[in-house]
Amino acid sequence: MPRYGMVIDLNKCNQCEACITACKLENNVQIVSKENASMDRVMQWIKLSTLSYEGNNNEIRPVTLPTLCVQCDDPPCIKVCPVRATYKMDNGIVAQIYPQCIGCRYCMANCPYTVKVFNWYKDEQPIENEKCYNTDVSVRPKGIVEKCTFCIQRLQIAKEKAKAENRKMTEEDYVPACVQVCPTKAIAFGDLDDPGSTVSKQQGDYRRFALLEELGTQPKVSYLKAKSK
Amino acid sequence: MEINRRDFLKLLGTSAAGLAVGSGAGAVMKIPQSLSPVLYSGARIESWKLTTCMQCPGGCSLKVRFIDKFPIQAFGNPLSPINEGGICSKGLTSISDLYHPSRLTSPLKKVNDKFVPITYNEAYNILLNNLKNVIGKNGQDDIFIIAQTESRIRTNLFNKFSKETGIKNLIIDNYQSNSKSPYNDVANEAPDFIDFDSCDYLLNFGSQLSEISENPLYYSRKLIEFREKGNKITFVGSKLNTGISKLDEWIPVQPSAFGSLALGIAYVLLKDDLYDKNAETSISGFNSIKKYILDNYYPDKVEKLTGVPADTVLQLGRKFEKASAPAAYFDESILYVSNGTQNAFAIIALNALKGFKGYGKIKDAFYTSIFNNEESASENVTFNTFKNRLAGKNSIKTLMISGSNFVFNNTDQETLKKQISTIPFIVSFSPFIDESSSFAHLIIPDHNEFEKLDLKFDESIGKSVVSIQQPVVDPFFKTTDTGDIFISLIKDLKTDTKFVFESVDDYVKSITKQLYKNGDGTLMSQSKFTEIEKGLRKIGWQTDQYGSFDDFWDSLLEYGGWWNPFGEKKSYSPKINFAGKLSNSGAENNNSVRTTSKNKYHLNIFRKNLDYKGSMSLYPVLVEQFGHNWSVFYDLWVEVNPETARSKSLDDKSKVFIKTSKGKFPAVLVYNPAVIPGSLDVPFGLGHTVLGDTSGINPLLFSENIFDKVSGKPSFTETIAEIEPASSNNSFFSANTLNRKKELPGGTQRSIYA
Repeated sequence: MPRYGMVIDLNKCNQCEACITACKLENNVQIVSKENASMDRVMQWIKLSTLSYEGNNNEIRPVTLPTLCVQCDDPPCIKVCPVRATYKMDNGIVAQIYPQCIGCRYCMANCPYTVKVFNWYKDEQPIENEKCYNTDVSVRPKGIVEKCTFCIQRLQIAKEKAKAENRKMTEEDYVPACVQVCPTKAIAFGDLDDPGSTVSKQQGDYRRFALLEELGTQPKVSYLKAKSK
Repeated sequence: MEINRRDFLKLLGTSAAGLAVGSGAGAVMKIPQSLSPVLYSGARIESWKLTTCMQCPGGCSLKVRFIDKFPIQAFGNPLSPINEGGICSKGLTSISDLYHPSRLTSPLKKVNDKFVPITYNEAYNILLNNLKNVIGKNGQDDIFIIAQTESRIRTNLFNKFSKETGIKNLIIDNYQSNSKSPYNDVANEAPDFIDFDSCDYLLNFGSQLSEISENPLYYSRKLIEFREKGNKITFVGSKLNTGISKLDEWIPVQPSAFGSLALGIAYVLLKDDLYDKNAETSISGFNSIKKYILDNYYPDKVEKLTGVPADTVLQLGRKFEKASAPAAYFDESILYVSNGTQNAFAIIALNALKGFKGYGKIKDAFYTSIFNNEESASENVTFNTFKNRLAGKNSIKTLMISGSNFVFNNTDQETLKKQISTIPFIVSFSPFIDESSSFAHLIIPDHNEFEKLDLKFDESIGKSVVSIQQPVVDPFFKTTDTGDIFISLIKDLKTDTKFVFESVDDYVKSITKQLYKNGDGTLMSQSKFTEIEKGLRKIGWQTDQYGSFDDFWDSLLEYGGWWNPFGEKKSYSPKINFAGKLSNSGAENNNSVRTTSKNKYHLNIFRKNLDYKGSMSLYPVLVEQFGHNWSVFYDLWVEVNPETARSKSLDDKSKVFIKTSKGKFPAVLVYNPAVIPGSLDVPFGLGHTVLGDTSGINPLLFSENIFDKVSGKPSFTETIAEIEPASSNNSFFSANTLNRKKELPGGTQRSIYA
């Protein structure tokens, strides 16, 4: 059984935000109104934040970091879900059964990465976006917590396709939307347990780091630090 | 005349019944009636088609995903040599444009200040009769055409129309042409590409290469490879945008001083006698130019003119002279300042001193072989010409607007609106009622980009690329390809025309036939070639064989385009004649505002990677995403260096007013150390009053009326502004903004203004 993970090379990421748009459109994530946006209720499964600035004067650089669900191997969110709506799959993806979610938001409170979002209102998208809904993904109703699933619907389609063609799934078959669209190929995705996969090889890179590893969450999303000059 | 959404609905008048405007569950979906059964009971069959994105000059190849007849998603085509599978936010959201609720569904005629739907034939006859009347009275000079297009096919069609009808006042806003126009002025030709194979130092003057440029996705990849090879990039500009942070050095300079800095660097090359000696013959009047630079641009003086320390100027000069193939780069963005074109000339002079070694030309480029002899019909007509005519006594009788929203994209909008409202006949081909087309008397809406046929030529990757934009869906509504209208007008206005094509399809196919006959290159069925394949190709090995042109055409549609990976390049070594244009390149401008006045700052308007020509409001996803990096949503923000902000006791995320000579506007202040001290940097793109919903403010409304003297582009950087804190109960803030705080549960401070 594969163990899916992701590595984001910050040296290649040029903050174009295509991953954010792709995620939003692929997963039919709600566009919230102006009023809700002002209350920090914007729903993004992947965010790009400027954390700080390195260097001074002519050598100053913004330190930016795309953040998404890190798909912990020991996820704190599932431990507090009173209805077991969120769970870890055999392939390592932390998934969620939407109809089971009661909207208590305990999982959001217990996520040290603060990457889960809540549907505060009934989904009422602008028409032009409703029409472009991805038919592979359900629209979450009001009162449901959601987050990045590594575009799990694409895994299902890839499995079905490989089965129909009577072959094994390859790394190219299953690629999340953010990985697919990245213009600089800054995001690598694949099986962490496959020694031949890009993500597996990158685990040994001296630039690799992961967020809040000290908490013991064992995140499967890690980063490669931007090279200095 | 400000038009909000409510006014917009009123403006539509009786036609509103047929137009679904609004949002939410109750709104009618904006699709043709005939497709409704498919939408509600289709078999949900997935299919894919390739086309080309026309959202920016890049021309990325798109893979469009269909469910039944409906395109629902667009991704990058992995086999395209331009984007290699990547795609930007605008390309991803481009599909939603097709379903936009404000799309016009039929031609409209203004009757008693309201638009009423009419048939295409009625609309065409009104337009034709108007043109016949004006031209019949020898009034060609009273007709203006303002077009904005990234398509060279369309540009050529406009030029042909202009030539055939004698209407010389044709203003075409095209990113690629604008970027190259300074080169064309002094060298008669522009370089095709930055030669990343040989270039070892890139000195970038203000271009947001990986955000808004001739080919953003290609440059995104290439700049990373460029640095990984150990080459250096220096960025010169007033702000280090996030998208251009992958560089080695940032030289904070106001754009008006680019020319002075370039000549300061040229000074070092000349003084050290380390310039390419061929420059002595390739630059006309070399000795006088050399003297001019040596007399006027010594480092200490450049420090005064630009604010860049003399030592840094020397270091930049040494880096540039030591590099074997440096490239000093600029593009259209340089023109958005009063001395923009002059600054570009200075950068060209700097390149000439190193023999343009960082640049290249394509040998036998396909585009050049087709269009080389086709010159623009109206080389000297710029937006300045249009404005002068509006202000002068000779009135304009007819204005034709295609693809351009020049009212929104300009300063001095109130004057412009007053003046154009006096034009007796304005026809717009906009698919939406925007700030410019709302003044039209007649609108014949253009097709959506996914409903059109076109070709996109590109040479910026160092190879000839021809991507095909195919109509992936039949037109949803009663819209007409503007190109077809112009072709019909040519035929009807000039019966003895030599223009033989009946439609844009005809024209595109005739060019494609030359590709077919040419035999070079290959379809976009492979984005990379091995050395063995290239070697085989050189000895005549050919993989692509077609029985007929129709076979070739079908294959072209299937693979999305053609390119010539085997084409050769040549050096770019033009003869330069500045003809006195190099002098005063920035000397009269400086950024001393920050050092001489305590409360006077530069208002710098910047374009963000999500927006290109200020049309972002068409895409709700992008509007929401616009300021997310600063957690500012649907509002204008101002990026200020903390040093400047603290000197005014302004906190991060505090509400402020920006005050210019034209009034004041609110913004959310964010600290950004990567902004030059003394600058107030605000984004461009928000503040549409007609298109869709209104969010934020268009800062151009508050900019001073300063324009590039040659191109007529509005200055984005020279308005002097003040900044002051805003109290939370100030009535200047919109009701929305104030209500947000009241609505916060329990009065918590979680809003962006907390």
